[in-house]
Amino acid sequence: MSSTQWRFPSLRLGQLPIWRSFRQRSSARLNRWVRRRQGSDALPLTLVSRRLYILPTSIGLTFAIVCFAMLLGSMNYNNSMGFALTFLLAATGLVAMHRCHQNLAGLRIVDVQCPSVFAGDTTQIALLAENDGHTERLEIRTRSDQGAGAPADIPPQSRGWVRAPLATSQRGVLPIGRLGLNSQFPLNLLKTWSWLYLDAHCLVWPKPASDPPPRPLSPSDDSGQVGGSGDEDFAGLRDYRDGDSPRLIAWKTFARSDEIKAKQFEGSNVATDWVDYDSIQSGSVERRLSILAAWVVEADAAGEQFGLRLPGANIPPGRGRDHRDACLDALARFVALGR
Amino acid sequence: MNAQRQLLLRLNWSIAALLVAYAPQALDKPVWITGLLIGCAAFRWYGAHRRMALMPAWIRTPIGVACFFAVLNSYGSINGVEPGSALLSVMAALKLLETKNQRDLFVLLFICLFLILATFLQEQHLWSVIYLIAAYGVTMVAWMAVSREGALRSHQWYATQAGRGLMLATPILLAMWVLFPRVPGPFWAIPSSTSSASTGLSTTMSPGDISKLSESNEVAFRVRFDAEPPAQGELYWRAIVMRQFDGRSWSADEPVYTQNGVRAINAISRPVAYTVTMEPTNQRWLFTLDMPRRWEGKSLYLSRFQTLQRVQPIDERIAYRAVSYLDYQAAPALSSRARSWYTQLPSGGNLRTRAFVGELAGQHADPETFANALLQYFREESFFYTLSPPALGRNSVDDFLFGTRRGFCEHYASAFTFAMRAAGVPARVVAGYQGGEQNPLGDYMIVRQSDAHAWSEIWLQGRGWVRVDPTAAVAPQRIERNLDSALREIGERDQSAFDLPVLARLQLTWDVVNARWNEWVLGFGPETQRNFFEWLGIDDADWRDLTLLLTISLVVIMGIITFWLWRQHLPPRRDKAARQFAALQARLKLVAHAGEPPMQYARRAAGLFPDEADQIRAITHQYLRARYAQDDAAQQRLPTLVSKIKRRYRALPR
Repeated sequence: MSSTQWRFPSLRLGQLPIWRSFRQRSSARLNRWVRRRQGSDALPLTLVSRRLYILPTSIGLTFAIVCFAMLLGSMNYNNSMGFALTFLLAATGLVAMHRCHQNLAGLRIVDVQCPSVFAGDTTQIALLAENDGHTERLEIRTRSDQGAGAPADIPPQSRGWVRAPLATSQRGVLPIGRLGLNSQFPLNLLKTWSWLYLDAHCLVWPKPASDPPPRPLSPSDDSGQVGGSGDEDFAGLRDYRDGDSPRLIAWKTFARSDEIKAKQFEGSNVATDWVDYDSIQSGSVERRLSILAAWVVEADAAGEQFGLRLPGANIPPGRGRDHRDACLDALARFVALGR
Repeated sequence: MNAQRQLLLRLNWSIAALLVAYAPQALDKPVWITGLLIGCAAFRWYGAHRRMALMPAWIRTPIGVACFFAVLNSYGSINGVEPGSALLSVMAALKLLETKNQRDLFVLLFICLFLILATFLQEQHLWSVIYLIAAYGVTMVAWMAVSREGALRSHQWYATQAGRGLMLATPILLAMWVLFPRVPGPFWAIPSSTSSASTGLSTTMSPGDISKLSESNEVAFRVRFDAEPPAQGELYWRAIVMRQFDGRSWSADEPVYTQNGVRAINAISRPVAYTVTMEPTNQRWLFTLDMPRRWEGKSLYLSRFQTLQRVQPIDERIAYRAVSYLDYQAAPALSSRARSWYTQLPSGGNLRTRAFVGELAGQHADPETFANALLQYFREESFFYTLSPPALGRNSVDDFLFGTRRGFCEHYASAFTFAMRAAGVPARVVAGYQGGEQNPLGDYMIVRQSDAHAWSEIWLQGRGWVRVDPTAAVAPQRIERNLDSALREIGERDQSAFDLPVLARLQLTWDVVNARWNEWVLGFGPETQRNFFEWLGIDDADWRDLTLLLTISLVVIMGIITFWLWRQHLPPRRDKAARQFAALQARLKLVAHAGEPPMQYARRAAGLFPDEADQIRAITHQYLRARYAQDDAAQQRLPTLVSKIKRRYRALPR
C-alpha cells in the first residue's frame, strides 16, 4: 500500500484552534481553582475524599449510552430479561464508581523523589504511596503535565513507588509542578484522580557539551598538586586536606604522632585535577556550564580524582559516582551573580 | 513478551465471552453464521499465538460486504430482531479479525452485551437467568482483563474481581427490578417475528381431513380461580366461533372490532372470577370460560360471537382477568339476518343426512327435543370416540353418520351442527379447550394443547345460545375427566410413564416453578408491579412514588456498599496493647515513623521529653511484654501508665 494515503479532511473538534485555546484557558482556570481549594501540599498527605475527583471515561460514557439504549429496547419490547440485563449493567456501573473512588481514597503519599538528569533527558518522578488497609489498591498511575507512567499496584500494608515521566529542557532547578494521581480500576468506566501540589523539585544537570575544549591543567595555588602529583612514587608527607583519599593517610605516622599526614607521590598516571569555571574564558554561562559538565563526566569516566571550582562554590577533590553527582548538582544549582 | 501475553489473555477471555453470549442463538441461526463466528475466533486465536500479522483491510472489507449481503439473503431483510442479531454476530466475527488493541476489544465486548439482549428478545425461558449470569459473568471477566494495564495476574484473579463486582451489583439489580417504574406498551412498532408460526387452535376445522389428532402435552394456558374452580364438566374455554360451512370445512369470520358484543349477554348467576396466563399463539383469540361478561386487560374486546379477542396478535405471554357466568342468556333476540347466517348450508351434498334430519324433525318439531333426539341417536347407535379416525369422503357428514361412525370432538360437533342447521335451527361450532388439570402443588389449573375441544351452540327461542356437546353423548369421560381417561377407556392409551406418581409429581413441580417464574420474572410488567405493591399495602403506586422509592433504596444500598468498601481499606484492627502504645504517641504528639521499632521510638521520645523518659521507657517495656510475651499483668498496667503521661496539645517543632 502506498505511504501517501489520501485522507478525509480532518474535522476533529479537538484540533480546531478555537477549541484548543478554550481548553487551555479552561484547564488553566481549573488548575487555579483546584490550587486555591487545596493549597500547597506537605508530605505525608492522605488522599481524603475532599481532594478526589471522579468522572466517566469515554468507555464509561459509551457504556452509559448502551445502557440507556438497552433500557429503551427492553421497555419497548416489554422484555423482562432485557430489563434484568439493563439493570445489571447499570448496577455494575454504579458499583464500579464506588470501587474506583475507594481504590484511591485513603491512600497516603509519604515521599516524592525526582532523580537528577541531564537537560533534555526525561526523569521519572516517583511518589511513594502507602496503603495501610487490608485490601490491595490497584492500577494506580502518577501523571505529570507531560504524561502518565505505568500503573502500579500497592499490596495491603505496604508501600510502593508510582512513577511518571517528566521531560526536562534546560539546566536548573525544576519544580515538579502539579502531579496527578489517578486510577481507572476496576472497569475503565470511570477515572478518579487527585491533584498534588508538592513542594519538590528536580535538579537538571547541564547537558554535557558535545565538543568540549581539552581540559586545561589547572594552575594551582596548591603546591602539592604542581607537577602532576600522582601516587606512583613516594615523595614525602604533607598536611591532610579534606578530600584526600583515606588510602593516602600515613597511618603509621598518625599512630606515632597523632598528626594526620598524607603521603605524597610523584608520577602522572592518575592526576588530581580541578575542573574550574574560570578556566573557560569565553562563551555564555550555560555554555561554560555544559563544558564543565562534559569535563566532570569525562574525568569521572577516566576514574580520576577531581574537584570543582565555581564562583562561590568549591567541591573538594574526590572520586566516584556520588562525587560526580555532587559536582553536577552544583552545576545545576549554579546561579551566575552579576556577571 | 509481556505485551504478547497480555494480548493473549485479553483475547482468550473476549473470545470466550463472545462464544458464550452467542451459544443459545446457534440453533436458530443459519449454519454459516455459526461457522463464520467459530472460524474467525479460531483464526484470530491461532494468529495471535503465532504472532501473525492481521489480515489487511483489502481482504477484510470485501468479506464484510459479502457477509452483509449473505445476511440480507438469508433473512430477506435487515430489520427486526432476528436479522439484527444475525448482523450483530457477523459483526462480532469480523471485528475479531481486526482486533489488536484495547479499544477494539472493548468494541467486541459491547457487541457481546448486545448479543445477550438479542437472545432475550428472541426467547425467554426459565434458563434465561442462568444464561444471563454465565454470559454476563464471562463478559465482565473479559472486561476486567481488557481494562487492566498493570502486571498480568492469574485467570482466577480476574474472575474474583469480576465476581466481587457482580456480588455488589446484585442488590442494586434487585431494587431496580422491583422499583423501576414499568410502563405499558411499545413506543414504536415491533417488527413481527419472521419464523414463529402460530400454535394451538386453528380458525378452520375440516373433520374429514385430519386422520390423527396430535396429543401435545404443551401448556396452552394456566388459570388461577379466585374461589373454588367449577366442576370439570363445566370447564368449557371458548375461543373461536365457526359460522361458515362449505360442505367440508367450518371456518371462523375474520375478527372485527366491536363494542356491542357484551350487550348481547344477560348474566344470570354463578359468576366465576379467574386470571389466565396464556402462552403466545400469534393469534388474536383469548380463552374465557363460557360465558365471559367482564374482563381487565389492554386492547381486549368481546366479539359479536361472545369470544374475547385482542386487537394485536398475542406474540408474548400475557395475563388477563375475566369474570364469566356459568348460567347465562346469550343473544336472546336474533335478527333475521343473523338467523339466516346461522342456518346457512351449501345447497347440495350430504343428502342422506338431510333426509334423515327431515325424518327426525318430523317426529320432534320443537328444536330442543329435536336436539335431544339427535344426541340420543349418537348415544344409542354404535358411535366410537377415537383419536385416529378413518378419513372421510366428499360428503363428510354422510360418511361419518352412516359410514365410519368413528371420530373425535370435531366430527361430532360438525355433524351435530350440520344436522341442526338442516332442521332450520340456528347453530354454530365453537372451538376452544375443555377441562384442565388442577396442579395440587400450586393453586392453579393447567390447560394443555391436548385439551383442545370443539362443541356446538344452538339458538333456542327465549334461551338464546345454548351449549350442546355431542362428544359428551359418546364419550362422557372426555368431558367429566379428561382426554387421557377417555382414551384409556377405549384402549387407545397404555399405562404411560406419567402415571407413576413420582414422575407426575416431578412434572407438576416443574410446572409450578415455570408458572411462578413466568408470572413473577418473565411476566413482570406494569400489572404485576401494581399487584405486588398492593400486596405490600401500597395502593395506587404511580411512577412518581416508585421513582422516589427507587432513589431512596439506591441511596441506602450504595451507602452500605461504600461502607463495606471503606472497611476493606481500613488498617487491620490493632490489639489492646497496640492501642495503648498508639495512645502514648497521641499524648506525646509524637508519631512513630513507619517501620520504627518500639525501642527506637522510646529512645527518641525519651530524648525529646527528658522529664518523662522513665515512664516512656516503662510503658514501652510493658507494651513489649504484653504484646510479645502475652503478659496479662503488663496488659493490665498499661492504661494507668499511659494515663500518667502529660497530654501535649502541640507537636514539637521539627
